[in-house]
Amino acid sequence: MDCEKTRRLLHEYFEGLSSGEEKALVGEHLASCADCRAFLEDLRQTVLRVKELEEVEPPAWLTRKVMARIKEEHPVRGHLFGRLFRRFPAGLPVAAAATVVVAVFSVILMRSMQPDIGRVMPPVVAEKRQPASPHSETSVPAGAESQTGRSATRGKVEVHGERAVADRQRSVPEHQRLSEPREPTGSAVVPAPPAAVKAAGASPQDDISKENSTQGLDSKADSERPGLREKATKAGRTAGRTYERSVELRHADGAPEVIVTYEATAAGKKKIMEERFDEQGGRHGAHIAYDNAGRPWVEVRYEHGRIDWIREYDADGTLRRGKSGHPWPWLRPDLK
Amino acid sequence: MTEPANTAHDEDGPLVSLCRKGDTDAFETLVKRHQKKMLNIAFRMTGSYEDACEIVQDAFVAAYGNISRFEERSRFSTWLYTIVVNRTRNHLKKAETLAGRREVSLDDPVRSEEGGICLEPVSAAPSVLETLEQREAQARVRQCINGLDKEFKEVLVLRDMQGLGYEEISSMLGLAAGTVKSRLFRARESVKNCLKKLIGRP
Repeated sequence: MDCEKTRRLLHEYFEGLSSGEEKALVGEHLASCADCRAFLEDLRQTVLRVKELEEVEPPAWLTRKVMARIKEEHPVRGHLFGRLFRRFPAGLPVAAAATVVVAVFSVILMRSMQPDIGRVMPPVVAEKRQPASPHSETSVPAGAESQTGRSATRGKVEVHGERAVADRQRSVPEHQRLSEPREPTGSAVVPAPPAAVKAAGASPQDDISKENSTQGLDSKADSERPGLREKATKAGRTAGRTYERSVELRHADGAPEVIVTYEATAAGKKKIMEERFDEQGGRHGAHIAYDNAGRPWVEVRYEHGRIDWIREYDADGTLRRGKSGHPWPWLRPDLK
Repeated sequence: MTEPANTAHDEDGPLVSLCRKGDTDAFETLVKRHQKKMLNIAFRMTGSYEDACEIVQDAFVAAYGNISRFEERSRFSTWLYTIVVNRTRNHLKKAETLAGRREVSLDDPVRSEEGGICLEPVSAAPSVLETLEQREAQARVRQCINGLDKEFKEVLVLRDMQGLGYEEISSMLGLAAGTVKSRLFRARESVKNCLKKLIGRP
């Protein structure tokens, strides 16, 4: 048997999968051919190296996320009580008590929610709309902060404060609005993100126009867009702070998005927080706060189907906490 | 060494039956049991941890939704791996369409991870820290595997990294056993040559 034929058979030979006849033939050839013995040794080393590659561990949230999506897409059908009974073998009193508690709690919850629920038509999302004229505040850019192509395409990651404030100002009636300790325009409270981060983004320019167009919207332009926007706002007072929280569901171009805006004022200081959840479960939020000297700073949190990370910017856009590079380099040795 | 698609001793069987009745807790156990292997298959095929996480999530959700279609002709794990492989293939195809097809010949110069061409083997000076050296070597192996065309990569990942049997692989990929073998052999030889170029030895 020649070397070429032997080498074709060597793969199975070293895995112990050769038939008896092949094994004998290969063994015979190997005994007399140093080249093929070297070939076999190289092959063995190669496969060993491939086998020895470290495996990656799944992130802790993977199971949680899978199960959350499954429960969302396949809600349990009808036998919730059956499950309760199964969980509590001596079940009836427990289940009955639980039912009463749930019922009472629901009534309280409904009562407290009811006056605040409103439906606002039409929607306000104008991702694709161009501003009628270049906005005067182009010096206030959006935080186009994308590390990967995925974030750039799916994430629509921005510093949301600007839009949060703009939205809030449009959608919350004048008398409900809390007093603004800083400049009254929404854009003024959002510091610019650092230039280096912007450079990493896919197209900061797009985001600038998005932000500006959102601001430049008027109600007439809104009415040209079909869609649905539901919003529930709740104002209250807790632990020495007044707050206003709104949960908004939007359907923009068929893509539902939930936006939670939270604004709290405590001891004359104000915090605004906005979180977005898209249909993929992606989540990104900006948190605007004022320090003791009244200077605003922004915390941006990213979570997009993976590990979340946080960055903080000063009012001038300087990154003061968090790294500007890839957020999880230890998982991506190929990006080092 | 080959593991025939043995359904008689599928340890997932009882849990799968519970899942069919809508028991999500049973499915959670299956997710925990198989997520690591699925993640590693997708990770090695895509080279991206976060893409792999997304693919595995989607695969599990799809598996749960289609569990009534699982006919128990193969093991449940094989069925899951098939889903993840198919989803990874689709993902790669999409990425390829986006980036424009980049043909790579097995004989092309080896690309470093930064994209440059490695002309010199890595310095042969002995490293003080053995672990560092080992890590370096692993990086080279990864680099060589990443350089493979996806048809070759997938058989190498499934066979040599995940240790699946030839029959299982050929049923998963819908390929004849002979094709799986010939692709695997080419993949191994390509990795071997690549390692020789990079570090002077396999």
